[in-house]
Amino acid sequence: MDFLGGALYGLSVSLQPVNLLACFIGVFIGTLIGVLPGIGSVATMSLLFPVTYAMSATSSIIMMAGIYYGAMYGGSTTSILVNIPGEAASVVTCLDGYQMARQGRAGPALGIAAFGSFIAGTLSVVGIMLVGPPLARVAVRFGPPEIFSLLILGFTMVTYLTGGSKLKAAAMAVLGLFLGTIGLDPIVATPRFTYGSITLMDGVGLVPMIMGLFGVAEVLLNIEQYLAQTVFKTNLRGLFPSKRDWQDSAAPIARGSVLGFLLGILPGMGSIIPSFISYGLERRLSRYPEKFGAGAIEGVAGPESANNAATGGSMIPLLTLGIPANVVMAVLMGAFLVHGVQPGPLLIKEHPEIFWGVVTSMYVGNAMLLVLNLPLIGLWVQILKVPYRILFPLILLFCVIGVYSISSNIWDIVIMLIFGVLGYLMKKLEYEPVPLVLAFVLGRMLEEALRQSLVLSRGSLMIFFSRPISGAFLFAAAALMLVSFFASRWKSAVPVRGA
Amino acid sequence: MPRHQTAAAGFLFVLSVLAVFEARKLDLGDIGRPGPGFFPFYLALFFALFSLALILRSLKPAANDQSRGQPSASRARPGKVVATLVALIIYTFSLEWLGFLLATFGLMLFLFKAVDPLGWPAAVGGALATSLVSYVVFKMWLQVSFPAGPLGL
Repeated sequence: MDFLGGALYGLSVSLQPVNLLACFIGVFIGTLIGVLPGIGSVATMSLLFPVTYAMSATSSIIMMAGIYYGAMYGGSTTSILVNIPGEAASVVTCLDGYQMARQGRAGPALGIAAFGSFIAGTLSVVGIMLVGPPLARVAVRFGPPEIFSLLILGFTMVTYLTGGSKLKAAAMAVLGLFLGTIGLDPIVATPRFTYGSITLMDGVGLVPMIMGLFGVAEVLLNIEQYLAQTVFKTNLRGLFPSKRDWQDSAAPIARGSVLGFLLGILPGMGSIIPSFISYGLERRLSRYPEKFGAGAIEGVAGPESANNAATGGSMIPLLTLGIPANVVMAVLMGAFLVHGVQPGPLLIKEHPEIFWGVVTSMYVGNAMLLVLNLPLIGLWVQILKVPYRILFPLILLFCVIGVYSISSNIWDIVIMLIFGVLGYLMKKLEYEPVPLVLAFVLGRMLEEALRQSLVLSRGSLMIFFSRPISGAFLFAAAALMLVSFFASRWKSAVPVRGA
Repeated sequence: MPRHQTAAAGFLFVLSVLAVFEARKLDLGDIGRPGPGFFPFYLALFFALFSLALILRSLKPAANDQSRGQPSASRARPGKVVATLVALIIYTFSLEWLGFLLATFGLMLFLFKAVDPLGWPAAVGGALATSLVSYVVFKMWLQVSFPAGPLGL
């Protein structure tokens, strides 16, 4: 199917009433949780996981994806009006967005964030359509050694790109891989580390783990620190940016879109790093860098476009290689698997309605967000005024219900609480949960690829180096590790000024 | 903070040693025909190595620098965290015995009153409303099978 044929076929799927409704629910809930600080898209997607059992695979994925990019839209509202990022990817929007609000320009800040996100979202959808099919055609030729090496490269990138200690990130990735081995062995179905527990026979559940690490842990951290939020009282009229605003924002939106899309493809990148890189780039390119941090509209337009474009980019590894680039994609992969659909190179051929339907639904969803969000900003502001002491018991209750509803097993709640405490302690001790979750999700695939490769080569590790694509992936991973090692050495060797 | 880091890394090391011993109980196979224990065994070894490296790093004086950037503990309220967790644990194990409606009402009332307390009317009203609405939405509409408890609902 060519680009145009695929796009038209996708629109015929995504414009079906049931899929339009799924898209609307997804973007609406996504914006809502994006607006509310203290609950992220990962926890929300996990929460709605059981709801998707009753839906078709296409509608489920459309709704889940809508939550993700909807949250990116919503996060900017909180950053601009409250100076607290609703989503981690909107942290950088606080810098100039909140300053614009203080100067009575909250309307243009919210408007340019919405328009920038729409433009970036649209461009990233076109990007997926252009890049996805050719990449899938290459990936279909991958055997177990290539998959193993690609996953090793992915883990290296996740570890390298994680903020903070690389050693801690590596330890968490290995722990995640180990946790992924609990349950039945994927090849000979021998129970491993189950100790007679029926709950553990299927392995540790992804939903309890994610709800614990990202939902419960976040609430525990917030109630410990007392989250005070005051909505900035400002004029919300005039949401449409002026001609001057557009002139200042056009290039940052274009650069942010391209940058966000390309960076979003890389494993571990997520949406946060592209928004920071976009901010740094705009500041460097600006003729007035001193205005950044004091209410420069470019500081809102670039990062908001970048984080939205990154959501599209991050879909590519999942849809074409079957490898989630970040935790949100890991949850999305779970939704695919629940419906018996394996994301990867064969997805476009075997389930074209899912691939093209989901991709075009992102365009439809972005248009919905633009039409809905500008008139609804007043509603979001009202929601922002709900105190956290009312919100957090509801979040915890939703987490408990979401986990319990999967298999009506209280031990799933216990697992969630264990991961909640673990996530809370990890945050305190500066251990990142992202490598743990990604490794957990990909562990089974990595083990299968490793064991099949070793059987194929009769125990020779050279199989990973002698095949060109596999060797190239491992070479790239090794290069990345060396760069990371020498960069940290160089950093620690440079004397700190004033020390 | 460095002591906490050493303790955390030490805990991970103990966990990894346990994992090595447990993985050894499985059939490791050999490199040409890896068994079910092959992958977890080598993972556990790597885990032990990484946690050992973390212990060593936490003992270095430079590890003190890692405590920078930590939020100030002056307004931290660990008691609230413990209270919330205890309430959730009690809720979990009383869910099947008390049923969804009663257990959820109790949990919500506690959370509305214990952390940043609401007034009694607001807390009771909020707890009642959330337990009833969640019952209607999840049990009656989405057909989630919650335990009925003594109320038989």
